[in-house]
Amino acid sequence: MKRTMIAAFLLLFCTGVSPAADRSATSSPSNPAQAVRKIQNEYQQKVKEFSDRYQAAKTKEQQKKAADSYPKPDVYGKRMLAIVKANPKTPAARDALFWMAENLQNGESFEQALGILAADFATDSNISKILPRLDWMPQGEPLFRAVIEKNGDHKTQGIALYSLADNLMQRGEAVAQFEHSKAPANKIEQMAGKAPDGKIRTAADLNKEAEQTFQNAIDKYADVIGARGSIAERAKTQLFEMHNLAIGQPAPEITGNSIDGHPMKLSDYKGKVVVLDFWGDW
Amino acid sequence: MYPHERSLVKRMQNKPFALLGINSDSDLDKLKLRMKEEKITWPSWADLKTAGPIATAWNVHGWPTIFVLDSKGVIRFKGPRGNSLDKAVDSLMKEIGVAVPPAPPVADE
Repeated sequence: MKRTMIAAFLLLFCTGVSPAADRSATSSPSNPAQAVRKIQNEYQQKVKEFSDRYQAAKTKEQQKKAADSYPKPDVYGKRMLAIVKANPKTPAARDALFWMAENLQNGESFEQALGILAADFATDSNISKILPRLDWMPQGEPLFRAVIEKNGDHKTQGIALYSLADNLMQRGEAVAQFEHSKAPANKIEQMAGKAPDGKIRTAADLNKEAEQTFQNAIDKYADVIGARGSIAERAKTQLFEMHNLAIGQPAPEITGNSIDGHPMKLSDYKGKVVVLDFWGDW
Repeated sequence: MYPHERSLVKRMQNKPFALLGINSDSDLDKLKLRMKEEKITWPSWADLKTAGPIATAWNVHGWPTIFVLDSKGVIRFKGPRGNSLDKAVDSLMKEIGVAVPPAPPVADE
């Protein structure tokens, strides 16, 4: 879940950049594209106010107060959703939904937004831009699948397939932790989702699907270069992690020099419980 | 992280336990000073950059990232922090029949 934590952190301090709304629109205040832009700007302004206040905070109390002033994304999401419903399948609806996919994390309006994106905008030429952000979210799966099935663009399909594989893998890790800590069944179901036969998927099910999907991406989309590099290269790295760095696998040997310049080997610590901490003093 | 790591190392003193770092800083002189300040006594490999050979081999793209290995060298936990890290270590100690002092409560970081 490490990427999750980073994603959540980034979300707190950055606002997503949505594709520009249709700027040739007329200036009527009832113009939906303008209404979408207005909400975006308002939200951004609030985030900036929060960030200024947070940085200026000197005590823990002031910090907490500043944190409480962070705009609630779902409030803005609901306003966006109203525009989407009044103007279905329009560029304004698309911009509103993209904004929601990039800025919300959960809540009813977020789930609805992803559902409408899957139904109405799976063929959109810019849809791949919002997929990586949904990497660990269970709500992302139907959208990835709709894009793979309906979008005719080879590159977009490749990115969606890789995103689906990554999504299944990360959820597999999360479910493994839930299973280990004996989390309640509804929590597991929410993260894992159901297999076609109606059974709640296990961590092993998700891992198996993830492996097959990564392999599929390597076989069919080796030529696709996404925003973070070659899909096939990244899929191979993830498969390596699944095969060699998964829970239950023997840790690969680590050799090298210590900070003091002495040679150091992981296998020297056999017989001990070991915490490996990848860290930096920054 | 440092205060919790210090307390974990202290709690596991004289037990079959090791906290091993893989450090991605490039300026080792500066790092050594910081380690003195922070009383970081446990050993670390010098991986020298975020794309260092060990971080790359372990597919680590976020810091800190934690793996917990059992006494046989098998990966048993990924990513636990705070209380969850204490619980993970304690459960593996229990598996090999080693009693450890109870962990003080810490916030999940």
